[in-house]
Amino acid sequence: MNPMLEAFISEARDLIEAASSCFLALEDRPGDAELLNDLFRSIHTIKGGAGLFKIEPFIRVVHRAEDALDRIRDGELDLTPERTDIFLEVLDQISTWLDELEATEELGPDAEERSAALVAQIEAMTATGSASPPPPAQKEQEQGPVPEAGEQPAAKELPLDSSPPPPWLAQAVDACFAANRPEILARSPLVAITYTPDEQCFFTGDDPLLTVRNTPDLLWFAVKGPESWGDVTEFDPYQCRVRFHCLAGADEPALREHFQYVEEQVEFQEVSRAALLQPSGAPAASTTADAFVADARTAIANSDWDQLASLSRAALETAGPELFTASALRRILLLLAAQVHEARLFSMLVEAVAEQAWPVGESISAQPEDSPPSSAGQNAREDLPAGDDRTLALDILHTQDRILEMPCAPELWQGRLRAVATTIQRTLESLGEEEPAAKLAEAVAEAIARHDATPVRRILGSALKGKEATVPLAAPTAPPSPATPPEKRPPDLGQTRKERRPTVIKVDHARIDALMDLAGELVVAKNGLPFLARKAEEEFGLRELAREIKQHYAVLNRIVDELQHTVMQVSMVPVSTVFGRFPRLVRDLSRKLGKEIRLLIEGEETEADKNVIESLAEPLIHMVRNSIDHGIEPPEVREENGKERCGVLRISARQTGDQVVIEVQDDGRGIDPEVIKKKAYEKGVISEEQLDTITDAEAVRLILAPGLSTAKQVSDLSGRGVGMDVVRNAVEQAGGTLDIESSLGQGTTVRLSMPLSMAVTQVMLVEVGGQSFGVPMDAIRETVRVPAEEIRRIKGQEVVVLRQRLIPICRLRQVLELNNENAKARETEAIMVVSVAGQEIGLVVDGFDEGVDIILKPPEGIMAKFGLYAGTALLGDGRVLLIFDLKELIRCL
Amino acid sequence: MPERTVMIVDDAVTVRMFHRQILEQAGFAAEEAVNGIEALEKALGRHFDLFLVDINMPKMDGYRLVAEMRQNDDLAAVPVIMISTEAHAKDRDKAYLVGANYYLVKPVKPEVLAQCALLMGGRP
Repeated sequence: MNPMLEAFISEARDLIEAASSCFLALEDRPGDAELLNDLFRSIHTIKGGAGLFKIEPFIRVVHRAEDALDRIRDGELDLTPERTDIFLEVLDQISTWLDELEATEELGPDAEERSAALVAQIEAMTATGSASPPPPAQKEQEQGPVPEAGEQPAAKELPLDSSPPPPWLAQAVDACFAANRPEILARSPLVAITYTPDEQCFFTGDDPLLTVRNTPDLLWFAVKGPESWGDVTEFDPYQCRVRFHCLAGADEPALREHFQYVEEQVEFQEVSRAALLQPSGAPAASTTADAFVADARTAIANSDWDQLASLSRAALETAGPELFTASALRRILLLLAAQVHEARLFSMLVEAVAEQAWPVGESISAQPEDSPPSSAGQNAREDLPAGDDRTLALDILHTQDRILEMPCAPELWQGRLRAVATTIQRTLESLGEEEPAAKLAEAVAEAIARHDATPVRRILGSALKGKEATVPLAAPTAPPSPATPPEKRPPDLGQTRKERRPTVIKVDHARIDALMDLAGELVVAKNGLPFLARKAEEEFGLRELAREIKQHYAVLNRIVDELQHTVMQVSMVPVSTVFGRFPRLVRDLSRKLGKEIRLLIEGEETEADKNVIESLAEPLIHMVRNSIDHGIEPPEVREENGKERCGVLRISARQTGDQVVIEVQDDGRGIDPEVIKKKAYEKGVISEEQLDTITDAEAVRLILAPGLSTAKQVSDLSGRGVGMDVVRNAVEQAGGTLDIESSLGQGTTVRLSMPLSMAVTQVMLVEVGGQSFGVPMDAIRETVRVPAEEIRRIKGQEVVVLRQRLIPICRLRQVLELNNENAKARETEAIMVVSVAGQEIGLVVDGFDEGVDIILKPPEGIMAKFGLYAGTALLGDGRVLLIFDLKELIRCL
Repeated sequence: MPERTVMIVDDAVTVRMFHRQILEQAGFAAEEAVNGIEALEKALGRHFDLFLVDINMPKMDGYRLVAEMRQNDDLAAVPVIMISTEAHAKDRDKAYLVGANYYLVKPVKPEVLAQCALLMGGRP
């Protein structure tokens, strides 16, 4: 992707985040000036960045939002919750668009509609305030598609001058403007064709209209009747008495060939673009266009064509359509529409507006219509090298003059003068005006001594005087070079390109994942060295070598550890990336449900692996929804129960060991264990005996069991009938655990424990039936050896009592159906106590082995069908290890 | 031949990147700052040929930066191009009032910014 777009997307996302939190903070502290400023700046910066890309619908929305915010900041409007809603909607839409931009580098197909809808919403919400500025909606001129014969609009134009422009050229341009056909100006030169068919042509097999319509590269044509049709009784319909005016883009030889059979009836004339641009109409009496001229000059100097277009459009609306000014403005707009961005041409037109006259010599033909010009026109002035450069330089110089004219704070005066002088000097030097530049230093010294800028202005004035006459109607010195219009020339290229010195780099997460995987592989590979050392010692008797290998291993071990740790750090992100969404979520939900909720967020700086954090987002949102929807009561109910109206929702994160613990706590109605028990029994989740013996805490935990949703009514928020087991599944998938505590009437706490990182898993090796298996270390509570006779049977289930706890036993040999030969008459049994989903169970194994770090690969292919295993891993000696999925294992019991 | 140096002051990284690209292509060595304060900190005691300054920035905005520059002996004579999304005459006039030397409207055409910088940045 375009790196600039990428940077914009990531920056805009941060800004949206910042803006949303500003909006939410403003609900607590309405009118806080600093927040409003921050907010405004965020939106403003998004707008600034967006302007670099072709995403108009996006820009329009942001622009309107910025305007509205500006008025709120100025105190013209209040930021009501309803307005906040709309702003938040805008932010959402922007986010969506950013996603689209990221995916396809363009906005979705419905962007225009959405943009319009949001703009309308913003306008509606701001309309209640003081009179809003007129929407700069730009209505393009849209009229009939192809201009047909008999164009009228310009027919009334009055050639007042002694040397009137050829009326039909002006008519052609005006007709094309009305029909929105800028092609006429896109190329230059064109050929103007005047075709006067023979009156008897219909009898010689000619079809003048067809001939004209088939003209190569025909851009425009019109049919002109005779001065007078004569007496109607004399009218002969078989006589051709019309004349055709055409403009074509093809070159003259091609046109001559086309018209070869009527050659003597046709006249060709080359017309330059400048000739086409000559405005017609009556000069205006007043000088209302002054403001336009000033702004337009600057726009041209800045090559700011959009600005020029809107200036011209605005001016055109106020100018009388018959006037010279309007005619010139139409030509500016047509030029812009044709994408011909030649500053010189625009300058000619703008100066024409200023002077209310077309510079003499610029038109190609001063003859009246009925005597068509015969010779080729000139087009020598088409392109002027460095024309833009000069225009810009002159505008810079003019600006310096204006600056010196402006009032100035005394403490700034001298500095401003010096800066102005530097600017003038450099600009003059660039123009090749060494002489005045050299005199400037003296003038500055004099000005500072006298505290009067006049000496500097004098030099500037005389330097400008020399230029004024030649620009913008600069001397036609250069030959035409239409192939390289000036604005396409690259700027004066300096060859040096500096290295950038970024302090922060953004890295694709996939690369970090790859790095993480490699670091993990290294961990495993490193584990091969101890095996090698043992082999050297035991099989080959090379004790010395074994020791050296072990030394190397120690070094490697340390480095790999550090590497792994560092790589893990790289992909650690604070949980705030997920927590950041909650203020908005809580606000929206509580408004929707009519609840009052105070959100407390703690420990959002706690870090964990990005993958872990991402896997947390969905479960957490579900939990928060649950708390708001089912947990916290409506304000009236809370008051009845003697609680504060406003409920408290606390979301906290902290790190304990290599786990991140996240709690979602509410002070709502809590979970009624009796209801859960009853429901669980009804649904067959627990048996009748369990119904009596189960503790309240255990009953509450049942809510995590599949298919148990306690909401009496399914609301559209959280109670979609899926319940907490979905959350549990998601959490466990990411290697975490979920726990819940609740006391009736007091509130509920849901606790999520997640591993810091998912890359490397620690497992303990156990031996069962002569094979090694891995058990995830974080599930292991203890390993014990107990005398065989201590294992008892209760209701057909083998159990063992450990520290007054009754722990059910599972013999892995049986579960795995491994050979049972030497299992008889053991004196002690090795039991590994593991905790799965809050339940403890003892696994009987043949022996315990070491703990190792492994990279867990999910089972693939055939192995994927065996739910018993969470995956496989490669051991240092090349063996493949199967890792148990304890949850599945227990389900098999 | 010493390179010409330009300080790009803007709080938006996208915009800084864009302007840096243009100006580096035009042969400038570019330095960046995210607000007026940072710009002053980075510029003091060093030589810059040109400043390109955004208006709306946190901490210290473009107007204040330029006003500060004009009161600082080292930076007073450095030409400033002000660049902002605002196209109103009042914003432009305010920029000139505090001592900016030219005003461009964002998004700027690369060739205009380049030409402008070449004209005002002086010869290398």
